[in-house]
Amino acid sequence: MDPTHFVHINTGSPEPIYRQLIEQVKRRVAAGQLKAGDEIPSVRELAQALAVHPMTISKAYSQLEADGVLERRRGLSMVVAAQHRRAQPTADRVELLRPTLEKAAAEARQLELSSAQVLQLFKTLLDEQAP
Amino acid sequence: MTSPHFPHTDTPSAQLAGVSLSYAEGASVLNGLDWQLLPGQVVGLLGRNGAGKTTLLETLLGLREPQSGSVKVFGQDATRRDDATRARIGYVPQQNDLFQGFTAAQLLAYFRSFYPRWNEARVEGLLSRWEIPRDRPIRKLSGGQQQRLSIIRALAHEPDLLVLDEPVASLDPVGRRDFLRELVDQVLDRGTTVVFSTHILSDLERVAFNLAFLSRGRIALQAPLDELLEQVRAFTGSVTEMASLMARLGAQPLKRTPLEAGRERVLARLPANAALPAGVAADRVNLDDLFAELT
Amino acid sequence: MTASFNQILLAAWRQSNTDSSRWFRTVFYSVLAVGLAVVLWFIPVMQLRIALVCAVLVFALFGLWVMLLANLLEQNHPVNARLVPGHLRRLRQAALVGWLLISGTQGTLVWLALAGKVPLAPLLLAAAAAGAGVGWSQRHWLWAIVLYMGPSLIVPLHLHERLAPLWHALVELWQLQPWAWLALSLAMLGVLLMRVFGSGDDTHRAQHQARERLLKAARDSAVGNRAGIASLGGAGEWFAWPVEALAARWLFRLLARAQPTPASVMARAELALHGLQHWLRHALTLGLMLLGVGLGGALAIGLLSDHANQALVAATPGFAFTFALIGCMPAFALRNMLWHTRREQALLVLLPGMPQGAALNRAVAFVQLRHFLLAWGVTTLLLGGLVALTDMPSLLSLSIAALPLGVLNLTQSPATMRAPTQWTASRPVLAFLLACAVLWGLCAFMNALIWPLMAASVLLSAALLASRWPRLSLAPSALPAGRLA
Repeated sequence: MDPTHFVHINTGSPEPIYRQLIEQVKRRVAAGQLKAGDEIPSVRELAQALAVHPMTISKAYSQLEADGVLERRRGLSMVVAAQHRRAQPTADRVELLRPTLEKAAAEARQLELSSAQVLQLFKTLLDEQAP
Repeated sequence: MTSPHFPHTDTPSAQLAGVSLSYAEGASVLNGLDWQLLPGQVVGLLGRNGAGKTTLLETLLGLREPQSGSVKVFGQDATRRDDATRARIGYVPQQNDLFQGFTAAQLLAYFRSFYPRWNEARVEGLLSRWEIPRDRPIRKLSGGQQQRLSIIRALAHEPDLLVLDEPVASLDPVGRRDFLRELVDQVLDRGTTVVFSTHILSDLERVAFNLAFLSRGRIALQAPLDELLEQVRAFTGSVTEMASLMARLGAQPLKRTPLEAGRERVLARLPANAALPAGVAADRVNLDDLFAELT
Repeated sequence: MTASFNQILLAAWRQSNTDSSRWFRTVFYSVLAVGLAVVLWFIPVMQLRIALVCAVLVFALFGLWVMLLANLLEQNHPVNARLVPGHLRRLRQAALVGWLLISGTQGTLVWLALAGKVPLAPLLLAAAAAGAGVGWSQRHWLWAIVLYMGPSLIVPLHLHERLAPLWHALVELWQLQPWAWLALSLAMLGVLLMRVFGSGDDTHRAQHQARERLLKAARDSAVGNRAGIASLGGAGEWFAWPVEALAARWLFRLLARAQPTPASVMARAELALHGLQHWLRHALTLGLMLLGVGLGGALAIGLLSDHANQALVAATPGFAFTFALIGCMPAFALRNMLWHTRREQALLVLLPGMPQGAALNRAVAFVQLRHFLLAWGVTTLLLGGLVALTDMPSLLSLSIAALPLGVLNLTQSPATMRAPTQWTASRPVLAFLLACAVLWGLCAFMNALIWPLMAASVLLSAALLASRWPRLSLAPSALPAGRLA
């Protein structure tokens, strides 16, 4: 696995880098891009590749391990945990979209838009992107 | 936060206490400043232009003597250091002081003769990777190349404390990324304490684990970057609302900006794991906002 | 351990190599060696030969010591002193070892030259003290003045008579145990010498910065970009204060009366083009110099009343030469200043009202020639006055030589000029010196030649001007200088 393209760091966002890492790994596991048993880059490799403090990587990995997404193997690199054998069911994946939609909902409230208008826009965007 | 490499060490790498310094013309730069650097920390020093970052770093290194207060690095007073301690400190100044008449190879050989530890393999690797000609006089190198050479010289003797003053100002984005990777190497391999000042916040976000904000001659705040991003919020409302909100949340106000009609905007740090009650409008902040507000 | 020692000496050697061209130095030293051999051939007495060789070697060693110390001081950067382990210590060690070796050799050479008539110990002490004095004058240039002028005050102030008893007492004390006293004195001088190297504190940093500025000014002036006395630091700024104040007044006057006419525009442009060689500063410097010399002369007459006349006459050629050189400096300096102000020129040519093309060429040449010719006129008048006072017509050869050279230099197209190096900047001055020497010799040979020579010079200059002026109009636009090199 090429560490440089494992995750994408967005500087300048209010979200700390370790949190961005956690969210991205979770999304990829949920979508099935990372399957059970897949090796992920070591702390050292990823820190080097992204030019990020190793403690940041380490923190993200520890949190992912606590959440059951990753597993630590003795003496070897970390892997995706066993229970993520296949992509998560849709219901769980939809839940992952919650934070982004919450933000959109908050903005819609600020703009004082009705639900119908917002849903219309969302549907248009989804239809555009569908291949 | 201590590094995993030195989990048992609590003695600070550097400690400044009550440091006050004024320029010859009388302008006060550092004002009873307290600061501590623990081993293995990577600290980004943020401050406006002219706030005194360079002066602070020079005071840390013993290049400037404060009018009052104490400066200790590795337990020794900054102005009375022995050679062993000097060998553990590396410095990349804002304007390089390389001997212009030397070639890169000659310069590195010159400094190598003074340091007990010298990582020749790393020096060679960096010279090749950054394509710095070894045998051309330094005055004929571009500004970016000279800065890179200055960085190589500081990294070569494997310091335990690395002080960098706007080290990447004259490097292009690729050069900056390379430099950060080298820095990460230093941290990984040796648990070096790093303190650097820079205006390029995206670099800081990646590599610095702690931030220190220099404002009005003091370190206004020093905290891990992640915590700041997660815990600091901007609240807007009337003065009384804010007061009660702060009390309710147990938040630590960092900056108040008065707005019109008795309202104000408060930048506050919530306690860890605090939950925001529903209906309270709180904006998250990014590093640019923190820089603008706290320095 | 020795590695760092070697590196320091190697660095000193390298830095001395870069400052002047190797070719020039090898030629210089070979000429010197050959000249010495020739002179030695003609001296019959062996002792005199030894004395001459020793004297030359002593001077050479002196030069070596000055260079070594200057290079060591340049390595004595405050950051290195504070942060590089053992750096300061090694520099001090290198200086001490160099000092002991060089002054020891010098003392021994002088002893040989004097055929052992003077005991060795005091000679060693004298050499060591001179070396240490040089060391201190490198750190503060004011010390150089003190050490240089101090001894020359001994006779006029009759110090040698007043301090004689003290001197005899010291000599007696010395002769009890000369070598012990030598050791003690060397120890004290050594400590003083070590103090020349700073340890990175605030005073060291300030001194290092002042020194860097001085070196930079020296390097700049070697290529024609003279910085003036003000760059020498605090004392220099104090001396230069009246010049600066008056120059500022002139600037404000020009700005207050600014008109879009070419004359007004060029008057203002002149300030930028000629920088510190501007005619007002030049005139004020000359004036101050005359004032200084006048005061010095009066002081000399006061102190040396009986020998005054002789001394003044003896000093006249030197003074006249210096005055002529400074007075005619525009001939050489203005062209170089055009190179050094080329970045300002890039802005100047964009200003409204600035002449363009051929008009600009003529305007620039006019401004420079006007400055030079007026300065030349004043210089010649003054030299004439000196000739009338001291009856040495050959003094005028200085201005005879300067006129055509100046006209030639200032009517070259600036657009095609190249960056001045130490060599090219000094070429016109060397030509001037050569011409002076030749003309001086001719005039000294036959006094009456002075008038025809003067007339010839004026005619030659007029002819040069007439032939080169039209060519100037056809040359590419004068500013920014050096863009077509």
